[in-house]
Amino acid sequence: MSESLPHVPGAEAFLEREWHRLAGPGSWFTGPERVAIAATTRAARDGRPASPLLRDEVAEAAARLSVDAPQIDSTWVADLERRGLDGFALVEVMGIVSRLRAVDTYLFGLGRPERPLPDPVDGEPDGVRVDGAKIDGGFVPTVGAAWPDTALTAVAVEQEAYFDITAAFYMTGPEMGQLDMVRGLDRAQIELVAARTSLLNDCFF
Amino acid sequence: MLRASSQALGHEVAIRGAADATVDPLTPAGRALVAFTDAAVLRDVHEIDGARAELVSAVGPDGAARAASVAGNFELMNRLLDGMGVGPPERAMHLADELGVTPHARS
Repeated sequence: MSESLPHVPGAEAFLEREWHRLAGPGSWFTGPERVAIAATTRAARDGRPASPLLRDEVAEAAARLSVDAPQIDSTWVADLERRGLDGFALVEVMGIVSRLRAVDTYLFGLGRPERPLPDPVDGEPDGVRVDGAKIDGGFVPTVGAAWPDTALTAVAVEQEAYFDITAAFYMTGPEMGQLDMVRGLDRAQIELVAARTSLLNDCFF
Repeated sequence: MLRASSQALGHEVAIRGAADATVDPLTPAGRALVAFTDAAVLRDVHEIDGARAELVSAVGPDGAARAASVAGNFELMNRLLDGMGVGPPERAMHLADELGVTPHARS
């Protein structure tokens, strides 16, 4: 393997925070369950079985979000809910899976080894349903209309993590409107990578 | 955003180059960015080292690292949008023809 690349500014600190978040309880899952969701995310990517620690519907959600997200539809989400995976809990799964896939692609691109999953930390989920979160144009509850920045708003810790990763990996909210910004690449180069990644993932937003 | 940022920077851009790797996107270092993104997102262990080296030659190590982080970020964004069930806005649908792709309907 060739020499690995340096981290982008802010990424190392983000990774420490993310691993701390992943290890501990969230709003709907314990630390061991969150780490098992992460393990299942990688297992699906690599064609291995899901973690036995998870209920079937949670493992199925993690695997599909990891490797087959474009096939998600309202029927499937409703079926998960009927089997016991509440929409708020699905939001937490979405956050864990999507951030781990982001981190793993980032490290692979840098030429760095995959980061081992953290040891889980004991504790109970807080069970908090964020005020105002409801179905509003999407499959899962959001605060405000379903839109990229509201995807995880139904689970506070997940929304906080969303802003954390996007600030390190992409740009902050105020930078979004700055078409002349340069962060290692100029904005057009950044958007070319964004568009190509989305096409590879069959996501046409 | 690719078109808007290219126009703002005075770059030429061929949008189809984001969807078709045989088309030069015309963005500076565009072909190297596309090849690297493909190798990173598809986890191609045979291609990634060469694609990374080529991109570093074109944009330097900090630029190549940023390409990795942006690819990572959109691994996140794509899954959130699919999980939430939000498709492309109607105003952007005309880009599908230009890209040569067919967005699937969300239901």
